Amino acid sequence: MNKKPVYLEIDFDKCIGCRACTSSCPNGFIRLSETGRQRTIVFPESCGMDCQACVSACPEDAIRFARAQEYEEVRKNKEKQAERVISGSSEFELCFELVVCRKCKRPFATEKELKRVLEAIDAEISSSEYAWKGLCPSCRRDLLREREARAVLRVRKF
Amino acid sequence: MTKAVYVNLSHCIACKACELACEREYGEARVRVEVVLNGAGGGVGVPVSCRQCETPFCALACPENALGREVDGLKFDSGLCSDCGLCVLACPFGAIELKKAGGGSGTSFLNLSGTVVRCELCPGKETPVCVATCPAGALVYTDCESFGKNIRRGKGKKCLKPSPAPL
Repeated sequence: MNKKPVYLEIDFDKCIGCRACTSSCPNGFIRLSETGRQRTIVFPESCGMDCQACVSACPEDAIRFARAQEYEEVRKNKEKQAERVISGSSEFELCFELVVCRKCKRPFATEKELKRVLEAIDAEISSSEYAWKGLCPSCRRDLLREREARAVLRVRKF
Repeated sequence: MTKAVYVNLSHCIACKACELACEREYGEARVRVEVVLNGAGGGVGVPVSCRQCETPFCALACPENALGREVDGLKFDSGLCSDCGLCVLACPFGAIELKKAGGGSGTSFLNLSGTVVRCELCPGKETPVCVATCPAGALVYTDCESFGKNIRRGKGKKCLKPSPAPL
């Protein structure tokens, strides 16, 4: 159902560059692309749909809906927001540099994502050194395999 | 007692039948087998899937509480999941993946978003399909205690077996 458009206000400092908003938007208005070591999320300036999917999906509460008059102010005050507007369109984008896996050197996550995950784990568990830190999921599997295989290979004495 | 899929590594023949069975059942494999070589011609196949951790890091990282631990194992509520992918980064074993939804979506941007893929021990089935399929009997669906007990029993039997008479 269409209604009066609301304007998207993104808190760029809060946004960690995860994929929640892009995958939650039922209309695909928020777009995600990855080229090389860069992840880009493109937001529309406004949205005319009657849903709050992206707002509720965002783990950092970085997305807010603003009314038109409110938004003009936000835009004026925050130069950052204006800077990120893609020239020639009303969309604005957010770029993140991806961290590369320390083993396979493939980019796999943003620094802010990794920080958030480690903070969440550290809050429950006091040990802060993990062998899998800085490894991409595929290399974590390899690390586990190598450890487990070592014991069997020792017994088999090939 | 929490049940999980355990692996008897010395039995695995790396045939990847578990991967195939899982893929046939759910569209994508939630268990991955690779062979680890030791450089001297020896190798071991090691399947990796969700370990049903006592303190699941994926659940700690989940902002929507879609992942969590219950008495009989890890639970995943896809209705709450927002596909942020933080659980993928939290799993120490790389046992969670985000399923990539189909290629481009009409725009020049790739749609990288997807759905969380993680072993859920085949809810509704008596035995997970990977365990039922494994031709070498390397995968065992049991609780931690009895798996350990069985391993010890097996090793003990080996020692008790009379050594072959010298020729």
